[in-house]
Order: sequence, then C-alpha cells, then structure tokens
Amino acid sequence: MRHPRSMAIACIVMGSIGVIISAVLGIFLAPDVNPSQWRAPEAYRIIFLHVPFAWTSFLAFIVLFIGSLGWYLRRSEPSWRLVQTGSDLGLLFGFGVITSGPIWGMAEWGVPWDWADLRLNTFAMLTAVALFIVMARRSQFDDDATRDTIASVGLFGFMLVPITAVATTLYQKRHPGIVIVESESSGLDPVIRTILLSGFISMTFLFVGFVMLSNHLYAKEADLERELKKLDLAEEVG
Amino acid sequence: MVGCTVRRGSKTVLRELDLRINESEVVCIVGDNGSGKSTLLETLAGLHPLREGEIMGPALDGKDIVVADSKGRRTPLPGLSIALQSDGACLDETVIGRLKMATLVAGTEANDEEIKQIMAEWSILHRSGDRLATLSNGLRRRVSVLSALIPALKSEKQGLVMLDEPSEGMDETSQKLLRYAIENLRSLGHTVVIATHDQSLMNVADRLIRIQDQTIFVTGEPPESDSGGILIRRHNNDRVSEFCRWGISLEWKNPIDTIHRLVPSIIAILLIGSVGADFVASDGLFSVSFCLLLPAFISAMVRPALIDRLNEGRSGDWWRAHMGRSMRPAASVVGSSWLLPLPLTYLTFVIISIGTLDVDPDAKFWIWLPALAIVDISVAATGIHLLVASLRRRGAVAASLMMAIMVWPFLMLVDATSLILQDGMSVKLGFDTPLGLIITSSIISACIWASSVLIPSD
Amino acid sequence: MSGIYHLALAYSIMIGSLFVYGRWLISRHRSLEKAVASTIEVQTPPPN
Repeated sequence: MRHPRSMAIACIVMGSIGVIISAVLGIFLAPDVNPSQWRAPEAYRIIFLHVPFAWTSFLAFIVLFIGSLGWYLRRSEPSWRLVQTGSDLGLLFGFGVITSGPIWGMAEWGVPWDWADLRLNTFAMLTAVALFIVMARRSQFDDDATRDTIASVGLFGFMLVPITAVATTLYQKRHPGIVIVESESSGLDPVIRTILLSGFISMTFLFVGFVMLSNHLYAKEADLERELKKLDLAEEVG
Repeated sequence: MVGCTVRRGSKTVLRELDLRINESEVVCIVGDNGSGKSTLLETLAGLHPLREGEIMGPALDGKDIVVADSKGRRTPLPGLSIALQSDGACLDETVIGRLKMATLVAGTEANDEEIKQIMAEWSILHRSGDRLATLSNGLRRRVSVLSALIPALKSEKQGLVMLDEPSEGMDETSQKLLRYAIENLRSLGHTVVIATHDQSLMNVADRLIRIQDQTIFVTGEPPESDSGGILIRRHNNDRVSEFCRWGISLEWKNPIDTIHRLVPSIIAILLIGSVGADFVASDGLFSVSFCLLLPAFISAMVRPALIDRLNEGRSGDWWRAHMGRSMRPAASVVGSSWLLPLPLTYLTFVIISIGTLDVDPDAKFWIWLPALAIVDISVAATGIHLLVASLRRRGAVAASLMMAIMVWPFLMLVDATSLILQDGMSVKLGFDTPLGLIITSSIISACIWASSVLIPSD
Repeated sequence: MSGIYHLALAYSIMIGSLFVYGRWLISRHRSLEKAVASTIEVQTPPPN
C-alpha cells in the first residue's frame, strides 16, 4: 500500500520544513531578552526546539505506553509495532530534551542538572527506559518471552512517572534550588508564543509522519521475516 | 491441558493441544529431536507462557485449579517433583544438600538415613558432600533425577513426577534403577510424565504421546484409576522459606555476591578517605552525609549473584515450577544486600573521622537507621535487576539504565543523615524530620520494588 | 557570556538527531526493498 507511506513522507517533509523555519525564526526573529536579567541571553532561544521536543517526546512515550499495555494484555502485533516505534521515537526526542535542557541550564544557571526538577527527571527516566527497550529489541531473540519482558519494562517505566513526580516534589520542598525549565506562568511575548506554536505544530507533523513510516516499515519487516522463515523451512525439508 | 498453543522463539511448537493425564499413570512423551518433548513437559509444569488455552490440575478439594493460562494466571502444580533436562540445580550445591532440599520443597518428610540409603543404591553416596560442580555429567544427571524421584518415593501421598530425558548420560545400571523406580512410583499411585527417546522407558509407560508437527498422537490405554488419589498441596510459604534457605546457604558456601558488592564499596571508602574529612566537610553536612552513605548505596546497586545462580543449570526454572509467581518477590528479597549497608556506613564514619567534625555527639548512635533503610533500596534494585534478567541475552542489555530512579530514595536518606548529624535524632514524624524522610525513602523504594516484581507475568 | 555556543550546540544536537533518524529510516526502507526483491527472486522458479 503506497498511501500510508506517501502520507507519512508528506508529513515528514512538511514537519521538517516547519521545524527548520521555526528554528530560523527563533534565532533571527524572536525578540532579545533583557541582558541584565539573563546570564546567557542568547541561550534562551533553545526553548524554540527544546519545548516542542519535550511535547513530542511526551507523545512518543504515550505511544510506547499504549503499545506496552496492548502487548501485555493481548499480545497483539499492532501493539508491538507501537512499542517498536514508541521506543525509537521516545529515545530520539527524549535524548533531545535531556541534552538541550542541561546545556541551557549550564549556560543560564551554571548547573547542568537539578534532581528537584520534575519534568527533566521524568523525561530522563523515560528516555533511559526507551534506550533500554531499543537496546533490548536489537540484542535479543524476537519471541513472545522477550516481548513480554520488554512490555513489562515499558509498563514499569510508566510506573516510575508518578514515583518520580512524588519523589522530586518531596525533594524540591527541601532543596528548592534552581528549576532548569522555566515555568510558563509568566506571560509570553506574542512573537515568542507564535514561534513556539509553529514549532509545536511542525514537530507534531514530523512525529506523526515518523510514526506512520516507522510502523509501516516494521510491519513490512515482519512480513519479510515471515517469508524468510517459510524459505528456511522449505530449505530444511528440501 | 485444554486447547494449548505454545511458541518458542518465533516457532509454534505446540498448537491447540488437548491432553488429559490421569492419576497413577506413566506417560512417555516421545518424538524426534526438536519436536517439542521438553516444551510439552515444561509447559505442563507451567514454565512456558501459553499463547492459547489453559492447564488445569487437581487441588485438595477435588476441584481443578488453573496451573497456567494464556491470560498469565499461574499456580504451582500441586505435589510436583521435576527433573529438567539441564539438571535444574546451581553447581555450588552439594549432592546431599540438593536431595534434602528437593525433598523439603516437595513437602516430603524423609530423614537423612532414607535419602542416604537411596543414594547408596544409586552409587552416589561416596559423593554426598561434594559440590555438583565437581561431578561428572553422568553423576550430576543421577542427582538431578533423584531429586525428583526421592520426594515421590518417600511421600505418603500421591504426587506428580516429571522427568525430562532422565536416562541421558546414565550407565546401564542406573537406567535399570530408573525403570525400577518408575514402576515403584506407579505402584505407589504417583503420576509420572517422562520426556524421552529411550525405548526401554517407553516400554514401561502406560501411554505414549508422540509429538509431531505441533500436535500429538496418543497410543495406549490409561490404567484404571481408583480416582482416590489425593495430591499434596504445599503452601507457597514453605517453598519460599526453602528458597530463602537455599539462597543463603549458597552464598555462605561461596560468598561471591558479598565480594562483588564489597569491592566497589571499599574502593569508594578509600577514595573518600583519601580526600580527607576536612575536604568532605567543606561543602557542609549534606556532603558529609552523602559520602557517609555512598559506599552502602553502591553495594546496594550491584547486580546480585543470585541471578547467575538461578541461571545456572536452569535452577531458576526449577524453582519457578515449584513456586510460581512468588519466586520473583522472594528472589528480590533473598538476593539483595542485607548485611553490608550497616558495617559499610560505620566503616566510612570511622575512615573519614566524622567524629572529629562539628556534628551532634549522639549522631553515631543513630546513623544505623538510614543505613538500614539502604536495605530497602537494595531490595528494590534487585527487583529491577530481576525484571531484566528474564531476557535470554541478558549480557547484551544494560539494567543500569533503569537504576537512576533509586537516586531519590538515596538523596532522602542523605537528607535524613545530615539532619541527624546536625541536630541529632528526633522521633517526630514529618517531612522535615529524619524519621519522616527515612520512612518516605522506604515507601518510595517499596513502590519501585512492587512495580518491578508485580508487573512481569512470571 | 551570551550563550551563543550553547545555543549552537543544543540546536546541532536536536536537529542533527532528527537528521540521523531520518537517514536511518531511509536506509531501512532501502534495505527492506532490496531484501524483498531478493526474496521474490529466490521464490520465483527460473524459466525452463
């Protein structure tokens, strides 16, 4: 079927163009911040990709969670496809978040990490789980037992989210410290808001395109594997 | 067995099988190499997940219980004794220790003399105190088979004996003893299921179950049964305590887990000691507390040696057949670091001369409390290690990726310790008190532990 | 320090990782097409 692939490629192309435009706008068009109030005034522009990356990694982890639950409960192949895609994209976008966040933190606050920051630590936990799942999928035999374990790991990873939320909240009470990701409670400049919105939309298109294409490729790879196994059996019998 | 489908790897080995095994029956599962004999036997023992179908077994009250089903339900088969093809024992166990433990796990009361008598008949008495690692394959095979036969032979009640290729690697005398033992078991009313390609064992069987092309062909008639057999159902708690005893005794014989945990911790203590107390304290009591608890924390995070022991000879599968889902929680507790956190913390206290710093004079009487709470962290960490240990190529994955969550319980204990060092111990409960922080840390560790042991299906 | 180097590094990592992933998807697609073609070739009997 060419349609899902064509749609996927269209989404990816549109999303990529949108991301590039958002990045360029963020660098050249977004207003400057007050240099007397910011230690690294240019570094703030990291948010124009960092925040959309965070949003997209959130979507990817949702896909991973739904896939893990689906396989855990029903052992359905479409669910496994979601585990594969969700873990790949969770790793991709999560990695972007947990590298760009500390880079900004070093520039602005002089500290790369804050154990009291809920979002950063939750993303780090989930990215580590995604990395584990990607490595496990690549290194292990692909059978029901392996998939069961990987789905369990995926669900375990999601149990870590509320645990991390409670832990960081409690820890923050005693160690208020610096929050790496700025709170959105302060009003945003309209230009900044627009560029962020365009980043969100572009990244979502990109994400949807990646999901569609990745699912399609994994499904094709599974079909191919089935054909190859038939050939293996034919060779053995022959 | 009703409508059971089992996959191994990407291959369907058994497809929609229906099979009934009667009490006091000897059944042989036969077939070509790779046809699925071991898979069928192990599936009956509940060791393989079912794609479809369910396995039922008799309980004490005469009703059927679900031994395993495709929804992940799992109950250990009552009155089971099993000898896996790969022995199912850790090689650090001694011969007599293995046989006694197998007897206890199966719920049989057999004294040492009775066990030794059978060992003498099977010509392994001279090796009773030796570790399995020092035996030849043939002798190890005899021990493995005896660990399934003895509990049944000495039991007062009928049970189920499963043997996977029992005669493989055995000499002719042992094979004769094996056939005699099987006949004896049948006359005592036990049910025996054997996966084999040995013709002499097939001749002893009441029925033959041939596996071919993912299905079975049955020949022979089941014997007439009085249907009065009662199967023992031993409470899981007893098996759990036997498992704990097993884990502890192995570590006592070969303290590899302790050494694996101790070495990096001692190195950490020495490194901390080399920078000196003043340097450590220069950044405040939080740094002092951090360095104080760090060696114990390191020891808690190390991968437990129990995982390798369970992997050896598939002894983990042997235990799983007997314990079902209670094995994982039990293993996470047995395999964790119980003894080290306390002495390591006090050793660090001495090495970095915390007593010379400006801390509460009674603090040293209370730092055992956060040190003890590190045991909870260790149990949770062991649970995470076990979560990933079920992957076949476990050396190719990094369990450490999931350990980062243990940072927060640790940091809370560090906070608690710095409060103790600063103001002494307080028994008040609150988030700003040492006790409150320690309890919170333990609750978080418990939640992590529960997630890691309860989510996996087996 | 204006943070311009940090900005450049962060953008490089984020955009670079998207680019690497995209390349990987393309290479998977290509190797899949090759594998499918060779499987069909093996399955198709040669003309007599």
